[in-house]
Amino acid sequence: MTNKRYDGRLITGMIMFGFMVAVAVLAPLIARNDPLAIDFGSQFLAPSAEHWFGTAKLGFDIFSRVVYAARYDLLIAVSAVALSIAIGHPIGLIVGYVGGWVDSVTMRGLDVIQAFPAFVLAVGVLSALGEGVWNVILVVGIVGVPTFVRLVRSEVRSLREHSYVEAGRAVGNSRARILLRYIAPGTIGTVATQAAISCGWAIMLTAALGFIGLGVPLPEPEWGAMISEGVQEMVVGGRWWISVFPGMAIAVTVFSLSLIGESIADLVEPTRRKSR
Amino acid sequence: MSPYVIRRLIALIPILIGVTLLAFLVSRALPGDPARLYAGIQASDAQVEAIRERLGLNQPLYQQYCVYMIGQTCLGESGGGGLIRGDLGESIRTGFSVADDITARLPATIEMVGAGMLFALAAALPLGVWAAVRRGKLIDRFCRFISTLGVAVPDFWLALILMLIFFVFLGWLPGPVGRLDIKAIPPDGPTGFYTIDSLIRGQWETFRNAVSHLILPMIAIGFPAVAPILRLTRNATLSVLNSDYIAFGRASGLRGPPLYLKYVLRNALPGAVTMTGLIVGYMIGGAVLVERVFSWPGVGLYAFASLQANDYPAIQGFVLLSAVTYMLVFLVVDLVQSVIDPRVRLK
Repeated sequence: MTNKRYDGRLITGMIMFGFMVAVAVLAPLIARNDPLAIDFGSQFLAPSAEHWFGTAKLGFDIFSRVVYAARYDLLIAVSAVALSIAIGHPIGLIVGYVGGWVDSVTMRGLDVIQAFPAFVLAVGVLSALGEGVWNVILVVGIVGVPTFVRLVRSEVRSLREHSYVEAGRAVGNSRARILLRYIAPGTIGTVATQAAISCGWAIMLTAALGFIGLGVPLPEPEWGAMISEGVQEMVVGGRWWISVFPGMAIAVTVFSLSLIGESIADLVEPTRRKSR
Repeated sequence: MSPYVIRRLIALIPILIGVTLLAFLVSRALPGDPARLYAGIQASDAQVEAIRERLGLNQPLYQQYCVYMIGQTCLGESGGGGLIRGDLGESIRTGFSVADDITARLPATIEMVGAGMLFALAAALPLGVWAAVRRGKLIDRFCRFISTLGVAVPDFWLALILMLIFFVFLGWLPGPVGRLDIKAIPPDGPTGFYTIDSLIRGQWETFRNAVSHLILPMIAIGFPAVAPILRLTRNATLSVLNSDYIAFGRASGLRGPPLYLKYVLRNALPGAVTMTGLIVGYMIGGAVLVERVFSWPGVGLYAFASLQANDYPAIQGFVLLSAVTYMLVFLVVDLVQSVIDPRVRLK
């Protein structure tokens, strides 16, 4: 690495994302109230020194709920992306390397899955499965699989033509060893980039599902569902704080992840930098 | 029809079959009991059993799929039904055929998504070219900020924020009551798009009303699309600007807008068209969220209401029609592509 300049976007993104992770991990220390505590005496209060982000129906303290919701949203997003990679990466490696009918059949299968708009497919499957954290992880994870398969597959198809792979073959390595030791390591960079971008995308998808009532069941706090709670209040009573703060949490988290994703993309693919 | 079009249509058939198969399997093979879902929570076991019988859920899967696709014909009986005749079953909530329900709500959604797409293109194409031309300058940085932000802001949240500012605080635009003021009479026109119909009929007051209701949903659904189109246009423009024919154009004295519009934008267009297809898919999903916020009486709001009511046939119908629409959009995108970029046809 001769390039000594630090990428400001990577650092900013890391700090912002690290902050959100810290909030999630340290939620019991940061939150000022129990996120599930009901207090009929203090419903729909505007933000104040007592309740930084105000209160919602049943007197829920929104600051505490936004903090605790970070746990759900980050956990779901990270687990879902891990699931997508665990399924998509090996499939991509194999179909990219083996090719032939295995490849054609798999790709047609992906065409079918991707013929559904991602959100719509998630809605369809989740409405049949029922709500719950694990079902959301499962559905968001599976909807994300095709991206990783396609990405790894195209990477493998170009890597396998390289002369160092040819050399590996010439000295008598087995096919499995070629794939695992020569080709697979070359796919990690693009997968890492996509993982950061996919994480942001998974948070958006989770929140969108929560917004229409298909996510983490109430009264557990989740950003999308929290935004949904405030729709009526905002229009009728002008109580903006119920929806505004959870949305800001989503925006900050996804923004940080897309900063990270973009800067890693530039690192692993230096040719991209030229177009900047 | 050209051989290219025919090839593309044939390639569509196996995917269509796959899509129906997947939609079918999701509705039948997943852990939830569809008969119970159809019957509703309060139904007795005997009622659930009767529904299982009526829906043919006690038959083998392959036979169920056959009935699902071509209706009673599959069992050697006369009579209609089946997906192939456009039968998506009956909605539990409304009691009408799902296909009719969705058809009736389609114009509202198309009007909103179409307006959103126009908004996105009108904002992103010029900005993208401008950012590339003034690369590294303030406008370029501003565009990069907008496109990173556009990825990070949920469309349904943006919809709420827009409403908070322009309806609750400023009172400039109407609240979430749908496509027209509550007392307004919808224009009677051929398209079902209130803006166009009211123009055709010359009802200026209705037109003004429809437009004022359309503005916020249009921005909310269109804004997330600005980022990818902007980015793509900028990068395509950059590579075109470095090409020989632009150098030649410049040497021949071409400057300013004519150069950018005729030579640069035209070559940046194919990428943007493909992106448009992807975005329509995103907007079909986004419509569920944005229509919910604005009470926009379209297909998305129908899907949302069906979700609330556990109206399973309606949800499945929506999912399936979304996929088919998305595929048709991609077909159109490919055909448009082959017109503007002749190289595509030769592949």
